[in-house]
Amino acid sequence: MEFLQQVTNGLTIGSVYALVAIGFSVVYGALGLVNFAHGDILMAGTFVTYGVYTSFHLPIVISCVIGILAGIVIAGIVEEVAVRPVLKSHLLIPMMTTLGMGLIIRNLVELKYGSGTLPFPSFAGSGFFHIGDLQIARAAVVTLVVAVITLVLFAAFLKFTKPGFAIRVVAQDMTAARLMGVPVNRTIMAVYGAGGALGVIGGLLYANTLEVVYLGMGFPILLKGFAAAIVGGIGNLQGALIGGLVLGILEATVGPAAGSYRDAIAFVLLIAILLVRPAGLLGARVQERV
Amino acid sequence: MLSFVPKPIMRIALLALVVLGFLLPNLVEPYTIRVAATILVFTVFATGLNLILGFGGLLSFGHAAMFGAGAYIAARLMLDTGMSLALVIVCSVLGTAVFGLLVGITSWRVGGDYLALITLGAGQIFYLYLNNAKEVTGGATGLPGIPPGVFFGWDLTAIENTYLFILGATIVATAFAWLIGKSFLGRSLLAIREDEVIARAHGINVPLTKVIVFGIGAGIAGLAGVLQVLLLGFVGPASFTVDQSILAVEIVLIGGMATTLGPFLGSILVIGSTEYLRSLADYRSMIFGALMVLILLWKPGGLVQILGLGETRASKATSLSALLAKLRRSGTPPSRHSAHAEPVTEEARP
Repeated sequence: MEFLQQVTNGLTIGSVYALVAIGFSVVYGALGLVNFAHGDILMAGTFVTYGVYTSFHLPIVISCVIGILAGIVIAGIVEEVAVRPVLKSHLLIPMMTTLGMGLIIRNLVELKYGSGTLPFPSFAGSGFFHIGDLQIARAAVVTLVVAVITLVLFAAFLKFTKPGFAIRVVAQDMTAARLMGVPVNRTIMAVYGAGGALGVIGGLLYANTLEVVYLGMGFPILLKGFAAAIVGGIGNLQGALIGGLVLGILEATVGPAAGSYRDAIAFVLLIAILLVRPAGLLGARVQERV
Repeated sequence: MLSFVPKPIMRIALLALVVLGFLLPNLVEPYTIRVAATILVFTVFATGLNLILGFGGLLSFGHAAMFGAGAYIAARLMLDTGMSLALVIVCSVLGTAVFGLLVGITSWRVGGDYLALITLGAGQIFYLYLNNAKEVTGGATGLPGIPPGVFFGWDLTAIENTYLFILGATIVATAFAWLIGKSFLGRSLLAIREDEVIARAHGINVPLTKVIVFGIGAGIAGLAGVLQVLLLGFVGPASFTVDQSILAVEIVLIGGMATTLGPFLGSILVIGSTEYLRSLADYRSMIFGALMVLILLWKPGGLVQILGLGETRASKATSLSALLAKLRRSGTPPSRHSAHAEPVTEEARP
């Protein structure tokens, strides 16, 4: 029973990792670029929610929506300033420009809110559900439900809407997409916006579970998101979902045994997967075409 | 900016700078010497990363772990054994190089962007180790009270002597990196950075070259770690966080990738401004972040290119055609919003 309890806890935190990993994967899948500003974008969006809630006393749901919108806007700015001009240059350059944008975003948030830990208004309320001997926090239920709904909506967006279709086309072949009249620049912006939104939702759920926001929250979540995305096969959205859940469950079950090295599980997993199966558990074999 | 100055005069100026470096302890007060020594330590640190990142195009976010490995090996040896400083340096550099080779071997199977994540992970694991293996590393408090070294009878207790020793080590490391850059290895690395497939087609052993440069870059970072221990007499995990790795990336980028003087110029700006412009401390990472983005967009050769010091071998960030396309786009806003009017000149990145 205790094992089941841990698996449930793992699923909860794992679904947050999955959201962050999918936000990161959608950018990687479409453009082949690592967005190092992802963690800072999701941190900034969470802080916007916090700021709107505490200073204007709007309902928490509306604050969350504003935070998500802010995440989309910030991600769009990052794309416009730091990614588009260097889209065709060496792989390294967009990675480092997004890193630079991340530093700027973090500094701006620090100027406004400082580097302390602030209490986050939990929108789930406290209390537990009981299923048999299983004890599940309300926050965990909300996290799971929101994560599942978000993922289903996002999958539907990719599958059935025109912008979603454009994203899939650009991911397959950017030049062909351009020739077929797909607005590539706008689509790339949509990719970043979607990534930012998913990241902020993940950040909000994380903050809701822990009931705090802090400046450094972006980085550890981002690392776990990276690991989750790679475990599932980077750029593969289903893979990112499974990777996030696997990572969450591993952390919850193996974590207590690992003690203070709990955070290392994600990195060990990441390195092991990349060494043994670079394309991820679900990824197909990657073949480089010349 | 300075490119109109004839080359011989530049060489004399460089020589004068080195002489000034050696005379510095007689000219300024100890605080400035300490800052200068810190700048030099970070120059060595960034020189190691410059080989990996600037020449090889391999993004390493775990370079602080190499720095830390060198520092902790040196600290342990100096605390536990009566080894001479020269031997401590050899052990630390070799030990760190082996550590770097191990991390580098992971690059055998995976390419550039994955490598950034692996090094990030390795750096985090190392940081966790530093904090948790209390009997070896002293945990979060670190290892205080490391005795000052004696280098072949030359006592390094005084800060002036420590500074001079660090200066000498910096010059050796920079000269070594310069030689590497000139060598077959350096040219192979530049080729790999530009196009791995073409490099392979020209008979370059791509995976082996990558692993070797990781080892060399780590060894140089290990040397920087030893110098840090000599300067501070203390090691603690706080000096080896991922922020330090990012700082090293900033120094390399701002100074100029794949240049000899880049790491030195970059750390003068980054470390010097941290020490002297404390009023700007709140805006520091924003300024350097913006500087990083601007340099990558417009002057990929960094300060070396801006000042016109010598050739730059940085990867071209913005090609002319892309720049023109961008200007054209901003000149005619409607074309950005209609897909059909968009010029089809841009090719997708392969």
